[in-house]
Amino acid sequence: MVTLTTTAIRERDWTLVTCRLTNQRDDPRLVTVAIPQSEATPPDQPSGTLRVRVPADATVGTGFKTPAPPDSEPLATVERETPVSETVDPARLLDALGGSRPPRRALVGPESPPDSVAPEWLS
Amino acid sequence: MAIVILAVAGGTGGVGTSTVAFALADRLDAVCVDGDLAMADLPESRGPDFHDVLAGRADPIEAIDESGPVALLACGRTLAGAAACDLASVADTVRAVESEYDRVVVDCPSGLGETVGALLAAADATVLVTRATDGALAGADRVRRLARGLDTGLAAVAVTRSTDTAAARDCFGAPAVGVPESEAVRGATRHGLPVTTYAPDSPAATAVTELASVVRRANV
Repeated sequence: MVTLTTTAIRERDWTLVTCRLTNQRDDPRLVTVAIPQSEATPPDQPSGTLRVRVPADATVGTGFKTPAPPDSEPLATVERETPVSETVDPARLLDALGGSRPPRRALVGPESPPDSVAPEWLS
Repeated sequence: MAIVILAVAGGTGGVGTSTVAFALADRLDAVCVDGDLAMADLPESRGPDFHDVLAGRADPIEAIDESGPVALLACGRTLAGAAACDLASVADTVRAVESEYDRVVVDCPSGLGETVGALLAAADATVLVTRATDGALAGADRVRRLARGLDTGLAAVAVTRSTDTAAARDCFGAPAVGVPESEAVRGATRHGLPVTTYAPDSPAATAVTELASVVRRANV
């Protein structure tokens, strides 16, 4: 099973919540963390949840901020855990990689319209 | 199946990836492709370059410069040129070069961005370049995992500025060759030559020759 422990501190009208997800199974799990208090940041799909991949027999950290007070119970719960495949789809892996080229705004300024030469990621 | 498209990648900048790639291409009689689109450091070309090819302005074969000791598809230096590259054509470009020259060594940029991914995906196998430090080994391991996810195997590891390869062998479970630090490497870089040409009897050149032998024996 996957266990969740949280800590919370209050900073500038926000509660900063740290989460430790520990997977005691011998296979990786995709864990959905439900955040009952509304307007947690960062948002994920579906709204009000975080999804975290936790390798087998490992602990992974995540976190979020919320306007709810730090003593609200619960700040986060494990809503669901599902097995994830060890195999990786190369096409999806490539799509997930970030760009490493200069941003268009660094070249031509923020007001310049997109042109036909620049690829979509520069727009 | 023998390796015909070899990606040389390090993950961490400054570990000597380009130095190893250039010399390895020399020892393998391969074309060297400078794939570092934004921070190229292999010799420049006076004609069309990799930027022009990936922007559709030049034919890959016509852009290869054969005037030096290693046939080189050089990379441009401008940020605008890097920005205009179409990464979707990387694989076709590298294969077109391979069909004409039989063997290709690709010098990959540092990091795990989309350029590295496209180059690794186009390759048959990878040579990892790392120093013997924990940070560099961790960076190389991230590249190894990315390559594995793209179905690109690991042929060998080059440990630069060191002869101690034990940590790399333990980390990667692959043949590892130490490339010792030497003045010959610095001189070769200053002259824009592979160390195997600039100082063929130097320890660094000898190490790259050994690395080339390992790659030739590797199958994918």
